[in-house]
Amino acid sequence: MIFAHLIANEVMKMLRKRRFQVVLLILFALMAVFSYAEKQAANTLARQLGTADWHVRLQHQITEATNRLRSPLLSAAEKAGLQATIQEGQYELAHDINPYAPGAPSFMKTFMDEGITLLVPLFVIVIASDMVSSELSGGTIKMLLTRGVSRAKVLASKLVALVLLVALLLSAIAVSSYLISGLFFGYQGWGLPVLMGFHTTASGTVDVGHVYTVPQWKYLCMTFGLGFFVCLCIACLSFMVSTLVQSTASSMGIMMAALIAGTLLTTLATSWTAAKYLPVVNLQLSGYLNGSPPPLAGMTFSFSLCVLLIWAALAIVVSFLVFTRRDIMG
Amino acid sequence: MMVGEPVLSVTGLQKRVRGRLIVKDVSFEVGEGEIFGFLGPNGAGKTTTIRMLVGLIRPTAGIIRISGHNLQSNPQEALRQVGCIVENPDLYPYLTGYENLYQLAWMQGPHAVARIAEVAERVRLSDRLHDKVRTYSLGMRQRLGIAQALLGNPRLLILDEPTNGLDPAGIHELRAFLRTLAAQGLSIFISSHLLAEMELLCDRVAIIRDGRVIRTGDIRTLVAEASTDVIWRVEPLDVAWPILCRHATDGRLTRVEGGVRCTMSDEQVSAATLELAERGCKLFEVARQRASLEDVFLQTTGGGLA
Repeated sequence: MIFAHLIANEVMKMLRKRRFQVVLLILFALMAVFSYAEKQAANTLARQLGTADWHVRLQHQITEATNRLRSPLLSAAEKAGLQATIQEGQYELAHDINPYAPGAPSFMKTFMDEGITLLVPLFVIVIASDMVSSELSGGTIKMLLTRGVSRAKVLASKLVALVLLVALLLSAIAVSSYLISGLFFGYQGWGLPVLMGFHTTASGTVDVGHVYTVPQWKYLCMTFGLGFFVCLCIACLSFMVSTLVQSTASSMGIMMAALIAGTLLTTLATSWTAAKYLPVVNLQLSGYLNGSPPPLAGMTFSFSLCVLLIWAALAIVVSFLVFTRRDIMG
Repeated sequence: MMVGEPVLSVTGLQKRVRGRLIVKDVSFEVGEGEIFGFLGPNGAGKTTTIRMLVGLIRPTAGIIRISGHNLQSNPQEALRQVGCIVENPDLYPYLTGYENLYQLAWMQGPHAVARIAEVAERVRLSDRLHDKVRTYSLGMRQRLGIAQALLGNPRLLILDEPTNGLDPAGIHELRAFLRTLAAQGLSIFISSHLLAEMELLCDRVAIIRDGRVIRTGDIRTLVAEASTDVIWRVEPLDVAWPILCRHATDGRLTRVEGGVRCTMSDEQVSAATLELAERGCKLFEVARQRASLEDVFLQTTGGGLA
């Protein structure tokens, strides 16, 4: 009973803050900009190719990938990526599947697949970093902890509230990306086929033996589900930093630096395989669905899931240990 | 003075931070309906002690009991008896006054929610209750903080330097308000380094210095003990001077405006008066200088008031 009230309090506080409203505003603005840019890019490409026929465009992309594959300067990971593109393209041509079919659901899919490594986690960090540290720096933690409610309960209510807020954020992303991009591309395309079952290893071999298609709405459910899981993991990590650090700004800074460092690691240090145990390297879970090669050798879907899960669990344990024991000094 | 069990009892409290003892030995009791002052210079360990009283800091040693509940072993039950403001009123500036109260009341259950209107009325915030706290003056924030503290219907109110930043009118108002609360049976524990304030407000005080309680007692007794100086208006002075010198505790007299001053006990005063009369001196006035709490403080702490 009291616990439910605590959660309601936390959610209400966050929704009343400018922070959450600003995040939503930025999100809407970005959706509009991305939709516009994508629309423009498609138009330009059609003009360059002289036709809007997707067969031509896809064939063009395959040829380009094949040419680039000859370059001796490519790393194994880049080669694998190109291989995957070629194989996918050929499969799509053979089965008459248009990968460029426009529509709001297609935009949602691209946005989530691309955004989950950096953009969406950034939003999550902005919200989660604030959960505990703002009470510490604002002094309001003293009120929360002197009301005869146990510290573990107070912290747990914040964690549950955070899960709800992350769910709200993802719903906002889903709804706004659909509504806003639909203005540019139309609202059709829920049933378009999406390829699944490509298996690309980091060394560059592509297995097309088990390829099948699912309707786009189903794929979207999966990718948003996985996105939610990834966001929760990021949220737990930020939550821990937020309990350890007094200032919201520094807790946000720490998490953002870690996130960006992780993204850089995946592109720069492909030979340092121990990096695969870092949470920020494992964020692109949906990559395992659509057949992109893993960022580092030895990574599989279940491996990434486990890494994220363990980090999140550790973060929660540390948060609780520290929060229930710490002395709230001035 | 105390009837039954004390509302707050503290025994042998200690706090060590990074190997340094900040609070060395603090013990006292606060009875029902009593206003208890906790006095000491800045840095004496007042705030650390208060934070231990409300469970924000874990004591290294010692026992805190609130209404008989041990704070260490039963913190929830103990803290339900307490309302507090530690340092500043802790408010969310982006919420309205009502929402701030509602947040806390909601934490404590329906009985606290039912008290919101009553408590707001008591601190006279009803008309501004639906404005954002960001727009409140310091005095209003202080009142809202007290309203928060009273929501849970506590038996003990703990206030840390509550007069900080208030103007004289605000201080006067706060004092009257606290007196009313105490008259209704609420115990109030109040820390301050402003002695004049405490003298007007408290029934009893504890004086803390360097992490130790060095005096505890009824404020009138403490002040009376410190009131050792007597001023004499007597003529002729050249006859009276040696007599007074003989009877004074330290054998010394000083000229002050309107007479001479010396340190004497009540017995010494009556003996000196008799002798002055025998020698034909005209005695116009004998006045004991009433010491302030500040004098008590300076005597017991040996100065160094920050």
